Amino acid sequence: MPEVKLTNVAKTFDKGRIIAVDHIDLSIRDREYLTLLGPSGCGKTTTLRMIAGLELPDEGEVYIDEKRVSGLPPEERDVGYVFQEYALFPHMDVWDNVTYGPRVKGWEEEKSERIGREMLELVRLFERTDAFPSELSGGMRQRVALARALSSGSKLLLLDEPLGALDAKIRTELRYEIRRLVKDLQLTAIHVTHDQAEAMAISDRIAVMRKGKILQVGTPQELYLNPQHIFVANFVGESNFLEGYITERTNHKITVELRRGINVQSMNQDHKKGEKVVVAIRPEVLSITQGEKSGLNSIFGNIEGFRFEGTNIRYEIRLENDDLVVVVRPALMAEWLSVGEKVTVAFPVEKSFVFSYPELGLRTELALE
Amino acid sequence: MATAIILPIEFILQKQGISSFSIFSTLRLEKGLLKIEKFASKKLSRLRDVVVLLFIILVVVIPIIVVLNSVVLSWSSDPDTGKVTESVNYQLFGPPNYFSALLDATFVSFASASIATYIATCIAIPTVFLIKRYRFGRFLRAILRIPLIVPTSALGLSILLLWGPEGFNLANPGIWLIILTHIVFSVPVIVEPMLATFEGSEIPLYSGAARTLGATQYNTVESISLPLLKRGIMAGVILSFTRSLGETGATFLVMGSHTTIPPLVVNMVEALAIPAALFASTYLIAISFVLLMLFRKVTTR
Ligand SMILES: Nc1ncnc2c1ncn2[C@@H]1O[C@H](COP(=O)(O)OP(=O)(O)O)[C@@H](O)[C@H]1O
Ligand SMILES: [Mg+2]
Repeated sequence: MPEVKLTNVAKTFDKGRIIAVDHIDLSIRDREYLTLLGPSGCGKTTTLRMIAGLELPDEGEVYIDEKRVSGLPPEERDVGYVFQEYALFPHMDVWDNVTYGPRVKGWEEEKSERIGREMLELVRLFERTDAFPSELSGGMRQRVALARALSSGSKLLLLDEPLGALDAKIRTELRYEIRRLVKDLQLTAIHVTHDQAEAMAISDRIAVMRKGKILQVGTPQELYLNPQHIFVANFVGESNFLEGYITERTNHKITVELRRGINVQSMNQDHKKGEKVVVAIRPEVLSITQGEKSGLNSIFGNIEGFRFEGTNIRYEIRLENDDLVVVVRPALMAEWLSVGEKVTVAFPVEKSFVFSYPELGLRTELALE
Repeated sequence: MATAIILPIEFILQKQGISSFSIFSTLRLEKGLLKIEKFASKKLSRLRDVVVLLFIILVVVIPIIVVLNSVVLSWSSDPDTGKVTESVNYQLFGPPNYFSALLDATFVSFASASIATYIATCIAIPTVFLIKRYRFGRFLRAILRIPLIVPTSALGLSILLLWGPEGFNLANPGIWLIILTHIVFSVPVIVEPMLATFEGSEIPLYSGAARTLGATQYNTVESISLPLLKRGIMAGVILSFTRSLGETGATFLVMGSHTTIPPLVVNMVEALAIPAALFASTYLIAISFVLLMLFRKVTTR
């Protein structure tokens, strides 16, 4: 049932000096696992807090289940919220934390206890229910926070960087567990994170945020295969950026002249002839061959950096037009080349993206804050 | 230590914008002092600790011992003159019967301190939430500090004039006016440690969490904020109680025919009943000491 809708929601702090959320529209479908992804400080937490009622929007409306809730206090919205810092009540043990919701709502003792046991079972925490939060490990605290958020029976779960405080190993384990739980219980979940790998791995859809705005909403595949914004191309996955001007344009293809008169071709994405553009190419799309071999979309260069990252090799290559690009190849499949070697870098026409050159400059557009 | 001595001076000089010359000279002074200290810390590494310890013994411990000692020495007769009427025993339990006066004062002291502290706590708790929740909170906090800054005798006088028979005639000088006076300075005494606890305990975060779990604002205060503030409240209560017991200046002006222990001591001295005053002081010190221990027990963990 729970669908969440935000229309034109805006929030500022400090008498308008800090724009935390800048007029966003967002719809979350029933039983969807949606992730708000963006660099820290981009307004993710504020958005979540406005959905929960912990913060009131300056403008715009919040709907839960088609009911306008913008004016309702948190206790009347029926959402489960897992806080970034977990916010487990320090003066209560695990059991009291988990049963707080049912008890404060005045449910019968028997029912509260049954729910408490169910929730702890759900997150597989059986022992140590009389321990206080300060005595628990990070992973256990996270489970308690989750159990507590679920205990009120809400079908809408808000998770603010729920894995942020955990070790890398536990983090990857727990993220699938949370998703499984959400799917098993048929909940709608809004998950906030700044970790794109986490977002890609668990989301049905992702909303990419930057500076209080939502840039693109889509499935992980859509964001990766078809970024609509230059920031998204860089933040979801990685991209190399080459600046140039469009010199030719047919129905399907365009030719872009890079610095020093190097021509490359890309797919036509509604750009005009003569327009200044940025060609974005993912590091894993670029092929690399030894020596100078001309061909379509082939650019000569020199290896400047080499890093073996375990499964991949990461080359930094200075192209003949002075641009620096990163090439990532699977370590077992690739030739191992060394620094200083002359190489040719190439990419398929249909595997690059073309964006209009940003008004404020490339660097500003890609900046995290 | 040299830095400790020089810092306040430097601070004042800079505040008043005195030319760089004088700062330069204080710097030179500082260098000199540092040199001495370096020498001292090499040769007399323990000296500093000993000096501090001596200072504390001199100004804090010795006077208490002197008082205690005098009480013991002059218990049955004056140690110099040998007069029995000048003895603690005679003045307390003999015809002057200061002991029953002391018992009465003890009752008034504890009654007024308890009632004042209780009422002040009831006022202080919502005040803390007001201060934290609203913009005018900082202003409120500043106003609340006034009774702590105003000399206590001036405070007592203003209360007497305002609420006493000359003013609104709320109460005659006596225990009720004492209580009223003590409430006035107790509220800030309780508010301050509560605010300190509040600031160190992330109450807004936990309150928010409670609200999402279905707690109303009232539930939240009851089940989250107050338990988290408990330590601060206890500290405030004991501080306020101790202060009530020891307060002299304001109480003196509003107490009428009732009296708490400290003004009684003053009265004894004025009546030249020194041995009785000595005993009463010892008694007061002992009570304060017990309360201090209690305070430490509550605030440390
Ligand atoms: N209560 C607040 N008071 C003032 N500024 C705030 C407050 N909450 C958030 N901000 C500011 O709003 C911006 C967005 O914050 P937040 O939503 O926490 O970002 P994120 O969760 O994406 O890191 C930041 O610049 C932050 O400093
Ligand atoms: Mg955040």
